[in-house]
Amino acid sequence: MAYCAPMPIDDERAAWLAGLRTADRAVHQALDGEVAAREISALHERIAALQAQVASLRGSVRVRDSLLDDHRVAIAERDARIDALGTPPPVPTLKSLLRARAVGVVRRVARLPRRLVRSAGALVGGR
Amino acid sequence: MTATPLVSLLLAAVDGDEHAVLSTLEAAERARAPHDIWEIVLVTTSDTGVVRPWLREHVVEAAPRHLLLERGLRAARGTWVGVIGPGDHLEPGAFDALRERLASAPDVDVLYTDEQWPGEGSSGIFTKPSWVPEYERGIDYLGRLSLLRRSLLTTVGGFSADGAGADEWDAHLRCVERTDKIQHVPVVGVMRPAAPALDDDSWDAGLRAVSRHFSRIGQPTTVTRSSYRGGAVAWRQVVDPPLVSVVVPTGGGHRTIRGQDELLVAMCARSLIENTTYDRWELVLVPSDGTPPEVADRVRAIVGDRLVVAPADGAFNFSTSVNTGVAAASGSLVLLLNDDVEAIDPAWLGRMVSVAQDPSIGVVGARLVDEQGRLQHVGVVYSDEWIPWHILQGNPDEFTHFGVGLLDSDFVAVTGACLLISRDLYREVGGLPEDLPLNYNDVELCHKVVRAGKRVVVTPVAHLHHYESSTRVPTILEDEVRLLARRWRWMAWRDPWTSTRSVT
Repeated sequence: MAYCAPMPIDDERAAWLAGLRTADRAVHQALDGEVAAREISALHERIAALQAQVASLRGSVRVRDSLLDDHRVAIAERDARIDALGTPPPVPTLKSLLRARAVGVVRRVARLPRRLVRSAGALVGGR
Repeated sequence: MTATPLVSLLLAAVDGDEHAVLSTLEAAERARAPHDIWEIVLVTTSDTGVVRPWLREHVVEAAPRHLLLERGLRAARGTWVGVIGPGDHLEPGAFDALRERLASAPDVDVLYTDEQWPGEGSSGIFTKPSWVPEYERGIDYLGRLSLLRRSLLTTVGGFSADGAGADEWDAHLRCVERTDKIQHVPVVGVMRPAAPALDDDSWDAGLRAVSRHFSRIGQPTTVTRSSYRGGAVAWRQVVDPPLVSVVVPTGGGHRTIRGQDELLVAMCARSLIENTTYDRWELVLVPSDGTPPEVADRVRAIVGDRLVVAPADGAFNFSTSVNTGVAAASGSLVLLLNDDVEAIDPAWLGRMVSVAQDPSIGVVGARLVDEQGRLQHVGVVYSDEWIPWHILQGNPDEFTHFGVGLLDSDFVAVTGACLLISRDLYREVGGLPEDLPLNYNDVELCHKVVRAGKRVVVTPVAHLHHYESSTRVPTILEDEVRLLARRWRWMAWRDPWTSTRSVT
């Protein structure tokens, strides 16, 4: 390699630079014509991603609600059982009869699909 | 189950996994929506006793994991298949998101989610970028939950013995070689019981998977371990080392570095001589009108006959200076280098040239560290305000988040302080825009390259010091922001790293 590396002659360099600037202008002109479509396409993609996130959130909420319902039913069953064990032998009152009946309902519907159990739980919980 | 399942989740289990499998099934039942049409194909060495309409259990003799997965794949009925592990919990809502995405893009071949495992802070929350091929060559970031079109996975060979130890990474690589219909769903798909297990054997299995990937795509490559545990570094073969023209615009600025007053470009040139193993380079120095004449002499005294001087006329315009330098370059590759950059690792240029051998890569960037040892650049991302920003900037050198900052990866732009590109491509896209004389000209150059269909990749293995903005006040003008946004807002919206902003 020479002490000073060979350099393209000035004319070549000027022509190369002129070509470079022409290419830059061409890219920008083409871009001007396609920016709108590219922006819309990019926004469509963002919305699709956000819709998936929203669906995920709704799914999470569904699972949360399901867990809360299960929790509510379990509490109702527990309270009913505690009441049953702690109640002295019958001096039947209207209230205790209703409560015992509610416990029975809970036990029976526990064998039914979960949705029905939740309904029963709501009934007992609302006493 | 009457409807054909949309997705089959393959779960391979061996003796000792019983409790973990039950935990996975329980979580799946909890997360399952009434309208869901996925199934779990469990291939196990011991009967779980669990009966569910969405569970298909195959009890088999003990066998290597890839054979269990292959058995599951053969039994799968879903259009897409994914792998989960014993103890993985499907995240509530994840399948709602996947179902939504598959409905809106039914032609997708690979669909992947974020994932999570117990860990301190964000160390266990793997929020992933959109599809960035180079990152997948460094670690299996697709990970779980990834859904692969079953017909595609079967076509590429399913789970093979070759991939043993890195079954999923191997399968992912073979699939992504055959399709560009790859999408990310930015929700956590699974909660894993712990970080993915990694030992020396599985690490090496991963390296072999990456090596086979490069063989299949016709790029002779040596794959070595990354400094990021479990990661791979691909060294593409450079058969006939090309001449690299290192283009350095300079105003002849000085700065105190390590207690000494330095002519910056002299420091830069000295580091090229002393810390660059790759030998095929020339230095194209681009002085401005105000650059003292003795600067070129100082540089010539350091680099000798490697020097080409290409003065840029008129008022200082960084873009014009670089364009002038590239015009004078003889190399088929040009490296844009600021005069306040110092090479510190001799492998840096060879590394960048190696990455540039990939014909799909148009621009290669480097890891730059400031004088306090903080990361200055490992890739450009867009901020919340859609302004270009440097990912991980200000963190200690070698800081990483799931390999980002240590592993090669794609970005929409890299800094022009150290940027390698072929001279032909530079010419094709029009070089640096002269209507952006100071800031964002590098960002625009990279965006033009991406628009031209080439990738922009940072390789942190190329490691240099950058004494940033030593020669001017780092001011960004609103006009520059506006001009960039007018042309490239869509590119910002497509920045693959936007969903990782909160943690990187």
